[in-house]
Amino acid sequence: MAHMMADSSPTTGLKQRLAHPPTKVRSKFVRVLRAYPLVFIGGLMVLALIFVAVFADKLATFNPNFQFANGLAPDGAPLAPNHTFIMGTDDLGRDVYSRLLFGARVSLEVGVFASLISLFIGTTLGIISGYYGGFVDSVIMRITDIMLAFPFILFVVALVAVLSPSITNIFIAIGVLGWAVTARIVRAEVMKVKEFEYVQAARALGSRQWRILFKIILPNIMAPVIVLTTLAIGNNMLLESTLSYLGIGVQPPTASWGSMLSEGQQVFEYAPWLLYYPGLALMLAVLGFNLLGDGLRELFNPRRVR
Amino acid sequence: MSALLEVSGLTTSFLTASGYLPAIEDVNFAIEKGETLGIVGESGCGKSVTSLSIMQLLSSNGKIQKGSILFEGKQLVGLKDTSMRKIRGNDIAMIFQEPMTSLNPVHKIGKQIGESLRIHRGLNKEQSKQKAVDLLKLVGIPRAEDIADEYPHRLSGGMRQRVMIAIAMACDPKLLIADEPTTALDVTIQAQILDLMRKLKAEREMSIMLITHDLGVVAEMCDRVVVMYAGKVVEQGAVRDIFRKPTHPYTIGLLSSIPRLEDRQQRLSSIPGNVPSIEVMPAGCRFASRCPHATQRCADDEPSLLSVTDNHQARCWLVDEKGVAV
Repeated sequence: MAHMMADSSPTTGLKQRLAHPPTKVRSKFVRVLRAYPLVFIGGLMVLALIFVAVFADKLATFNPNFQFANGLAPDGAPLAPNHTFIMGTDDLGRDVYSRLLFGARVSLEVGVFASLISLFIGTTLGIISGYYGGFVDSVIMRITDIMLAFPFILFVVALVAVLSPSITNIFIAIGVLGWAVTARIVRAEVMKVKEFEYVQAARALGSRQWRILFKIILPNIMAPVIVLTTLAIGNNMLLESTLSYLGIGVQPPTASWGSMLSEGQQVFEYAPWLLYYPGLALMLAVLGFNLLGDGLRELFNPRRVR
Repeated sequence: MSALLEVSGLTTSFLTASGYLPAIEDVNFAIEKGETLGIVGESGCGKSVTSLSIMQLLSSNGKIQKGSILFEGKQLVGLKDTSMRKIRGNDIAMIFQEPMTSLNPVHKIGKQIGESLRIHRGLNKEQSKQKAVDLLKLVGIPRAEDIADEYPHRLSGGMRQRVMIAIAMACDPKLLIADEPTTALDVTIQAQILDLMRKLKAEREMSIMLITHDLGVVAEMCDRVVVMYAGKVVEQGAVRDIFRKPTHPYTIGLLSSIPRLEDRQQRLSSIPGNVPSIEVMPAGCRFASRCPHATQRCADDEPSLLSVTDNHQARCWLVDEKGVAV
């Protein structure tokens, strides 16, 4: 708020000074940054990941799928990190650094798109369920219960098996199966928010149903949904690597952090860098999204921004 | 003068475990143009149900079973939702009891005030924003331009109620329904809000339906009063008549529970007992169990609204016996 009323009072005409002279008002960005440094750190990590994924072909030193003849030791063992291959090579003589960069692309793509699909399905069903209640609510919630009770990995395995494994099918499978938690949270939030007087007030203003749902209720439930989605991106990246690790995710030779871990596991004893780098990348990426999600929860709540 | 709003025989019921039970029964009253009508009664007597029935905003387990609501000669009962939406916020506006929760916390004040202008008048963002600032000035908010860009949590209760009034005034409504507008505010702010409503009413030739349990507010604001008890109108008339010559024992009880400056009282008098719940509503006079004058006749038959004078009616057998009660 600006501090402007310095001169004379309109009612008494007396000159008055301010008890607390206005100080320089910091921009909202700076204030948020100081209050929640974790948003900043998480945001930087996510930005770095996005940068790497987008410019993977510019940053990579080699073709990630090329099996170099000089990429293996004479006895056929992978090469440790050196000047040519800065993160070493894998057991087929491919450059780990380049594979890691291209793997970021796959991870991010699956994480983001799967989460968006879950977000869309979960929010839509959750809003309908929470707002209308009754029979519709019961049906949607029972479906949600089934989704939550079903072994998730098994479900994805079955779905991917039917759809045949490809990046697109993986994120569709993860997204379509992962909406249940979102739907529940959205439903609970809608049930809480719809009882507030401002929803009644909006009706008394002559708002249409869709206006109440999407302009009045939706913005009020977005904070937890955004946090959930950000955390879900990290989670879905982990899930993708799990699927790839199990061999039903991204198919060779395409690089993914999960498949790199899975391949590296076989030669772990004498080539540990094959697990270190993709494992570290995965951990940092998920951590970045989690920090960002926690920070956003604070940021998107108008009452908490100082 | 023809009535702006005419409510007759209105019965609104709610679905309970024992079927539909009426929360208000056979409610009749009219609001003239430019008039302030007070609706008085204790909690749960059906004041808010009456206003929600007029707005057609009853929750899904409530419905209007009988009666008619004429607004400018137009029947609102059974009106399609699309047509009703054009009336809400445009011709009839409403302000609520809790200013702290009536504003949407995620939208800026200016945007919320402009909302009904965008809905009903088709204004664009800039136009409605400009109009919102004008409305904020109208309701006496200082630094209107700055406040329009603030979120509701930055405002106090009194300021928020002013914002609610600005929202209600946006489309120049003919009728303002104010549901306990000052209950949640402290006394000095109450007086300011009432002043503001009176000023706006005079400027805009608006009618006000003021729902309250505060007889002080009624005395200050209203032209006529409807006293409700347990879902029925028990007394109605001009404010002057009701305050000078209350006829229904319930009204008398309400008035004598207000402290007076002139005479020293040891204790304030109160009305013993509670409003009967709608599941066990007595067949006779609903106030009989709490009434100091109750007779067997009161327990057996329910009186209709009997005329005390031309513009003053009370639902009490005492009127029938003596002409004027007590």
